[in-house]
Amino acid sequence: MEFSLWPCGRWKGNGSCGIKGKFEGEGMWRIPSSSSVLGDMIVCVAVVGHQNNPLYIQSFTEADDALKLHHIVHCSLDVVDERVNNPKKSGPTLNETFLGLLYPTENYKVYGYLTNTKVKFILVTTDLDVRDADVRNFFRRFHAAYVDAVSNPFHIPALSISFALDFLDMYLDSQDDHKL
Amino acid sequence: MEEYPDELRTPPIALACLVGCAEVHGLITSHLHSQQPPINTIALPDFSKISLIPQKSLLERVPSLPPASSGEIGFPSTGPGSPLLSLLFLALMMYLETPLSGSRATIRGRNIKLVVVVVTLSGHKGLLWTAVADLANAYYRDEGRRIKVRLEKRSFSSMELNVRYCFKMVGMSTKTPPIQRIVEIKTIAEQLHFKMSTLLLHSGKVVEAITWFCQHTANYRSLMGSPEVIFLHWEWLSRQYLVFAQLLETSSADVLHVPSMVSVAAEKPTEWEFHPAYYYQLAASYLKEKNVSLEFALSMSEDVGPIDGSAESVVASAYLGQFARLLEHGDTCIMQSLTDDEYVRYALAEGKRFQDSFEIIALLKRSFEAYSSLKAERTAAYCGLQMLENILLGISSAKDFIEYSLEMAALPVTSDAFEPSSKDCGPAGPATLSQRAKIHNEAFEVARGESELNLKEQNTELKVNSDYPLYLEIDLVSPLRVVLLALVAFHQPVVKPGAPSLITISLRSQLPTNVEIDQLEVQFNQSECNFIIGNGKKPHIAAISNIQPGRRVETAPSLVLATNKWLRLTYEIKSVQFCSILVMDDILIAAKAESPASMNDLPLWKFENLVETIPTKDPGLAFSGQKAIQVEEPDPQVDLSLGSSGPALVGESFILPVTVSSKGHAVYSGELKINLVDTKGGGLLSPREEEPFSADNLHVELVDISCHVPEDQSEAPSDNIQKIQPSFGLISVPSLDVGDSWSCQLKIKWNRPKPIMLYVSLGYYHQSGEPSLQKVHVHKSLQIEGKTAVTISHRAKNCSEVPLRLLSVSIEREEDNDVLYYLSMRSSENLLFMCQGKSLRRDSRVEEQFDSCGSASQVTKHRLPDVNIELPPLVVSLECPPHATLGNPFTYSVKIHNQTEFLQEIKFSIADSQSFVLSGPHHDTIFVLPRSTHVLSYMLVPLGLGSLQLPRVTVTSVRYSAGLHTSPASIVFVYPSKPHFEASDRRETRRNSVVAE
Repeated sequence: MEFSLWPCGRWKGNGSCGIKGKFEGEGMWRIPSSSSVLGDMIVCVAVVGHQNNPLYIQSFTEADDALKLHHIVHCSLDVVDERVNNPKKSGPTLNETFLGLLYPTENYKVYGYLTNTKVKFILVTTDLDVRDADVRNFFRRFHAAYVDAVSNPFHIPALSISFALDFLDMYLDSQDDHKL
Repeated sequence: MEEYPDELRTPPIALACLVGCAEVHGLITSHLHSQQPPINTIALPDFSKISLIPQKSLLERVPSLPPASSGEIGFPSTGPGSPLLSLLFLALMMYLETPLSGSRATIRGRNIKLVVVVVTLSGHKGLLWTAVADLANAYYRDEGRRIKVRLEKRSFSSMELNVRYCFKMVGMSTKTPPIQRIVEIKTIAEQLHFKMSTLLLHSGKVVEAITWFCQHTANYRSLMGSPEVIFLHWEWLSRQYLVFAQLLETSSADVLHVPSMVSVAAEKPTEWEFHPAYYYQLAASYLKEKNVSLEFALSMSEDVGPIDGSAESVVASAYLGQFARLLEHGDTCIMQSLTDDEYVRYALAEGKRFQDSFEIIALLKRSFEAYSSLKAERTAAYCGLQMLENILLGISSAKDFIEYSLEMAALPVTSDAFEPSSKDCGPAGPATLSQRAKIHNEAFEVARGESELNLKEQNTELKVNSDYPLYLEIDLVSPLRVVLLALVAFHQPVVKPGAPSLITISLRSQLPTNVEIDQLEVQFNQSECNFIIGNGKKPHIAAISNIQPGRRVETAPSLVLATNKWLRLTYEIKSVQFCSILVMDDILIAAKAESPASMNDLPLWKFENLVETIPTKDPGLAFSGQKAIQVEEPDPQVDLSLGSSGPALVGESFILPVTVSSKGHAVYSGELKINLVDTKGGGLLSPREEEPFSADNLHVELVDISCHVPEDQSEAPSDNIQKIQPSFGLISVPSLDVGDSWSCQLKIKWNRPKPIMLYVSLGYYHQSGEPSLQKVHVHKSLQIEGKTAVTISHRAKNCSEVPLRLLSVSIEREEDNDVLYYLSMRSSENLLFMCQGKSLRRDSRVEEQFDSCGSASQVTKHRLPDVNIELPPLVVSLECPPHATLGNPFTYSVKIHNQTEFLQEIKFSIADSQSFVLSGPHHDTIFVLPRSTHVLSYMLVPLGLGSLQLPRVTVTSVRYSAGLHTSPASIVFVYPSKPHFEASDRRETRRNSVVAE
């Protein structure tokens, strides 16, 4: 399984950065940084702070959909809030960070992940037959990438992650295989 | 949910599927419907429609099926039994758990009763049943084997009963063309899904229902059909979501309780899927998709050519999801199936007719409200945003754009006093005055034609031609009232015609920047009063405007509307209700004027900090000022006189002269109305109203109006209206010049004594040929007493103040009887008459005729009192000789004659007398038989001489408690000796002599 947070240096400027990930195994995840890829794929990922402030949001589709995807991510915060406010009665999943399917909408499925610091990860995919285990795996790796990014000593907590990611880019660039 | 058919939305009701033999479907359907509980039906036209069954899965499931049947879908080649097999399998698939993937097939037949009724016209029964039985056996054996295997493997956990069906499109061998076929399949699937969802939700199985719904939509989402009619697919999908949302909403309240599940299980529905709002939102989203594809399809079809009229004859077929063309051959109608081309054309035409933008907005609104109530603010906001997008998409003209923009610009900006939090506003931050001003300027630029309106979504450019200014109308319900509010207040509520009155026009705008008005035109409902107020600072513009000659033009020093400040203009006018039109730059804004008193319910009035001032300078006027002024009618200059001649008499034709004399006004189209009103408020009819209307019931009536038409007025008789009713009269008055007079006579008749009020009103125009003028009215009233002229009791008396001449008095009988009357008359004025006779019977009347004032004579009838005469029940008579002789006894008898039919008990007693020696019963009680006479006889011997009083006898009737005492007058004369009467002797002797002779 390969997953890489793949910002290519000039994150804000040229906009060609993105998250590239791939699940190998039962299902294939392709996270392209551009369109023209047929099939089901992740179309949007987002990192939302503990005060529901956006830290990082990136969509991987045609430009037209970006706003719509941002709306979907925004709306999904309602579901996350509801999940957090009405926790499940039985407690085996007390420390469960993976929120599972938040809601299906139109041709998308929205998944959520809640870290212990109440930072939310949102994933929007067009793959309607995705397996939970794959998504869970993706989130775990994404979480690791996020932790690495915010571990940057110059990162100011609760600030937009992009700044931190710039440093992360440099860090990643110094690695050979871009693996996390 | 009421718009859906009963059989779909009602809780569990048996469902029967009818296939083939279409002519008896109606019969069977109505019969099944009449059952208790009713059974619903799905009718399919023929067996070929069963081919909806997935052939592949069928073959998988029924390995024993003869190979011959696998060639064509629907088994048309295997003889008459084959369609039935299809039917059977359709039913099986529908009612048995049949997972689509085929990986987990289980039969849970619990509580399901499947009845296949075979209706055939011809024979083949044996073959048929054998085939069915074989097929069913094979199927169940196979399935049973599988279940057994699976049970042993314990590979499934859920033992829930599921009602499912499976439809898959395989093969295209039937008559229905492919496009319509998909439509039909989806329609049937929709119905079945509807029913399933209803059943599941009814039994409270929400999770199952949602899972069912997901499966249902997932199955058909990919079945889009032909690209020409892909909009039908989106419409269908949208309808699925809408129906499910409504079902979810109307199902029981505990359904809305969302089980909190952080469960990772993918099959379980998420929280959102328990809320109707989610489905409404998606329904709207798919409907929008439909709109987009429909527009595309329409644009593509335009070059095909206009849709021909044949689309109008396309109707929904008797069978679900099918359409047919209705052909009329004389009296009979024939359903002809459509080709796909025709159907596509029909669907496009239908799609063109129904635009869904309002539905989308309505769905989003419901979703928005539902999410808001769920406290899902972000999702609600997203719905709101989509709503706005759709509203803006609806903008098709620059006028709409300007209206929306102006409304938006005029919305109040919350003050900066409190810190606006990011929660309360959208991503653009809180509204600011500068943004509003920007919107304002943009709208005005477009309105002036200085800039073009470019709508990105529609790729259309809207431009206002400056030669044809936009015309915005603001009425009482318009949201643009905040943009411009126009109030008028007349300073007086009522004004005489011609008299000047003051009017204050107050204008107010909430637009963020000042608006300079070029010209203000005030329009009244009387156009000659209209006037224009020009802006003194822009004289050139005022001059350019088209001003009709003779139009009043005022110039105001400044016509600038500052934000939330009243612009007050007071002018002198003479007139009635009005509305005002304002020319504001190059937009024409017509604002319906309102009264300041109506300001109370204005929303912006409630922002106290915004409206510090009142619309008019005089605070009293602000609350009492009216937008309409009443112009009174001019003072009448015509006299109306009623000649009164004292009280009227009952029966008399009372003549009342009415004179109309002009004193200063000429009279045109005059009308004289006469009303008779009871002064006590009652009607003029007798209280016995149920009796048929007749003159007898009327107490007072207007009989006639006679008028003297002046000779020089040669009006056509048709111009003279004359209407006479018992209490109402209408007569037209001929045209009169100043100084002329006209009179008529009212003839009123009193049938009963009653005071009445006579109202006479004259309405006229004082100038001829101007119907717009107000009529002038003159009113006069007169109270007239109606009196009875003659009262008759024992005397007839003239009660009136008028001398009356009595013509005759007569008594008439209404029944023949032997009655004699005597009448005597003493004088013409004071009449005394007597009546004598043996008996007066009832119903006799005294009739009297009199004449008053020389007019026609009047007969007054008076009913004489009733007298009842009876025979005495008992007659008592005393008999005694006229004289007696001293010492000689004589008989004194009391005869009691009972004239009644009853036995009478009589007590009698006789008093002793010193003058007589008496023999006989002293006192006793006796009974006298009916119609008989009892005689009490006493023998008396006189003891004295002269006139002696006979012993007093008292007779008392017990029944009547009546007694009789013999009066002291019963006296007998007693002679000392038998007197000698010569005369008698002589007569006797003579007689004797005659005899002797």
